Amino acid sequence: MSDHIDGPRAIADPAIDVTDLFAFTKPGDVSRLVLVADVFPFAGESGVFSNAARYSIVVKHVKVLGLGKQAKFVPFGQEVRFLFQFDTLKQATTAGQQAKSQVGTCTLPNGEVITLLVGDEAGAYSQDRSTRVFAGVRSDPFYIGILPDLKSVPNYLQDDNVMGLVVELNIEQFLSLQEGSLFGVIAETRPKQTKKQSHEPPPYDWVGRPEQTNYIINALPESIDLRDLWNQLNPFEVISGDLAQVFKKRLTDSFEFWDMRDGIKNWDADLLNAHVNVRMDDFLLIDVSKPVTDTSHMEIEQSTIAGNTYQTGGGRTLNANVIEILVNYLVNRNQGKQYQGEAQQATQLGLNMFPYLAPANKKLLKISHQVDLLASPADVWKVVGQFSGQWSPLIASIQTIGSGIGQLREIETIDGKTIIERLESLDQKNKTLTYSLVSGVPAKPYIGSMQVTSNSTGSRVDWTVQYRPSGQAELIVHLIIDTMLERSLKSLMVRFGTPK
Amino acid sequence: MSLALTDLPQTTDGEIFVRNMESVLERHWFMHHVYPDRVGTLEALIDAESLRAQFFGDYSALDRMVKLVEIALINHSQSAATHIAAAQVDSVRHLFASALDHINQADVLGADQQLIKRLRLSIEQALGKNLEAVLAQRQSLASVSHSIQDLIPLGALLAEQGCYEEANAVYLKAIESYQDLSPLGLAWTCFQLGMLWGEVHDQPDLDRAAHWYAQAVAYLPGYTHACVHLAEIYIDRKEYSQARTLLLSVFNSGDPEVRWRMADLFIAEDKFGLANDELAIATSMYESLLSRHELAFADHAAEFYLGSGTQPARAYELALANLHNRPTWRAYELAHHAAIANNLLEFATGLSQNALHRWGKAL
Repeated sequence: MSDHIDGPRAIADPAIDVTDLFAFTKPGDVSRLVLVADVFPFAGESGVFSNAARYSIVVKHVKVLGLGKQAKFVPFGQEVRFLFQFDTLKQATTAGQQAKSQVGTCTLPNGEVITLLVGDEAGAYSQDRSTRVFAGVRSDPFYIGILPDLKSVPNYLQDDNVMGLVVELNIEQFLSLQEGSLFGVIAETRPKQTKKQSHEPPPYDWVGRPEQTNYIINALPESIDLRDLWNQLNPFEVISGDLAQVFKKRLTDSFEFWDMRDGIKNWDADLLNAHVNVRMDDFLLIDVSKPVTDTSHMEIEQSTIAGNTYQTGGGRTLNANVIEILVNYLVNRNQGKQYQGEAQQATQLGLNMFPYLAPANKKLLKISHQVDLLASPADVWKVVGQFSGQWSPLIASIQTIGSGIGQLREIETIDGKTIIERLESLDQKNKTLTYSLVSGVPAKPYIGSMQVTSNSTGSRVDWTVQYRPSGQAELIVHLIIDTMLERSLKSLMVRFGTPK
Repeated sequence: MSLALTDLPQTTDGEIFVRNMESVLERHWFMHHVYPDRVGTLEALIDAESLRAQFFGDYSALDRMVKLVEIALINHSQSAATHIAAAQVDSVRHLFASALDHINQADVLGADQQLIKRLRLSIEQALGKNLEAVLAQRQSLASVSHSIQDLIPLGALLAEQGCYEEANAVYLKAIESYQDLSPLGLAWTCFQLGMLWGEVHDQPDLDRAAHWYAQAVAYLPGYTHACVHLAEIYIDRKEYSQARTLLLSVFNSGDPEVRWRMADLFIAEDKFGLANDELAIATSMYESLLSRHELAFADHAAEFYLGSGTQPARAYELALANLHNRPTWRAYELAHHAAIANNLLEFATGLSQNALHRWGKAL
């Protein structure tokens, strides 16, 4: 192959892409704060952190400067930074562990350095055991049920993993409550500093409130993409000069666009301008003296813009439906139709205990059966290639709904159960079909594929199901699927005969 | 001008990057299987598989890409993303006419215009067509973006046109302006600098080439082409132990050139039996690749058969196929070399006259 390829589009390093930030008081112990930053979308099962980046979660005091159209949140005081850095991979010393492991550190605001092993669920403690930190691959807690065009969709991030960074801390140890209990939080990635650099390099990426960039700054169709410009700003710094004008205009246009999504104007100019002013300072707000719940996200901003004193701790829990909260506020200030997405939770719910992020999603389990038959592939395909075909002895009746790809088959089994499956692909030439389960077997996802090929004696049928147990023990689900495949294929041996 | 290694930007360690790339790739394949219609998965898979082929010599990636695109063209034929993916795969396989068809369809279906422009440019560059216009557009793109994905093709085009110092400067600018953490971009640029000084330049400087190939390998330890080219230089310098270490580090990559150079190493060490074994394996690997993606590997296989592969007739056949597909200066050079090796002197003279007519210089 020559060297003319016009450059890979994927040369960027996804391990520095900050995807989400969460801040909430520990369930059952409001004296402790949990901060979670996620990086590396689609991290897979064996992702690790870049050794050349600094990953930080930063907290600052914030005060409310005004209510209603004067709404404004201003950060002040010293930053409180939790800095994660990681080494190159090292051969594991633990017996039986083959993959190389990664060690990192978390530098606390008081200068103490905690060493941690990436992926160790137990995490690592500070010397006085008051601070606990974790870093490693976990299930992505983010979920999207409503697209920017208000279309309701299943979770686009289903089954994905991210690299999570978790800090659980004693609030009074690091955050002085004498100066107030309202804080702004951001997560950022930056290059490691070198001796040659005279100033702090700009961040690669940072996050305050969720969807500030994708759903808000980049909402307008056909507009110039300003996300990279935004990402290179320094968090907690006031945006000034021409940049301030550019982003104020973009936020104003975006909010007006969102407001008219339902064809009804719900935002008057003063309130919309107040919202712009609030959003120009992008950090996740949390009041650690008030309750933080799955529904309290953005309540601080919304109440303040409405001219009221906020009632909750705001923040963002792992299970908060931030997209619905955001979309309904942007479209109608929560005063009209409530938009609800198909996705109502992430692949896995967040945990109530350390490290709070659910374990990484693993690959599907697989059951495969084959049978060799004394018949031509064409003859066998006439039977098994019919999506509506009632050839298995386990099927009492079968009905189809619709036609072509996407059609459903409703199967009544001989033991009285109903299974619904969807045709995903059908290739008559190669004699293959794939289908997915809609309901009826305790597994999700569940993908079946069948193929008929020729062999020296006639034909071979390969039937594979890939699945993840859902709501039942793995052994039970395995037995259900395995029986179905085995007994169905045996019936083909009776029908077509088998080579001796 | 040559940058000292200490001046080069720090990136994510190559081993970490590769582990993450493999993890992402595995995840995307899983997603493609479970959620075949998920937006973005096809593009992500094509990008990641292209990287495996380009950097790690894993040419089975081409087979997977072909299959992916076949399925996408059946299920999503009215998607611009499908046709962009098909164009990328056809380009990698040197099926340029088909690639252009897909680009045209993607254009009609509303694909991103910058992406369309870059794909068209890379095909014209690969075909050696409208090179003055391509150069102007490359310079324009690079002057705006300053990005590696525009600077490297510009450097490659300048180098092909004999503007070696300008090419060198463009590559160095690509390094200096690099702001990413991925090692791929820098490894790629260092490799191009190695190629410039070791292969393309009319007055090669092998020390300089070795410096850049070594840096490419330092950024990305499994970078197969860089390892192979650096091993060639080590063999030339009689530094056999270093050559062996490098070749063994990419021995299982799937790139037949690794086995070819291993044979060269054995020949240099007078181990002819082992060399013959390696040549037989290299031949088998090339023929297997040619049976699936003939035009993509025609030039490299022709070089092999003109060299240690010692099948000049097969080399001539492949060099001609390559020349007909993309009549570039290098394709002319290769065909000319193959014609002479087969004692087809009249044909070689004709090629030389053609080249003189097209580029103003004889082969």
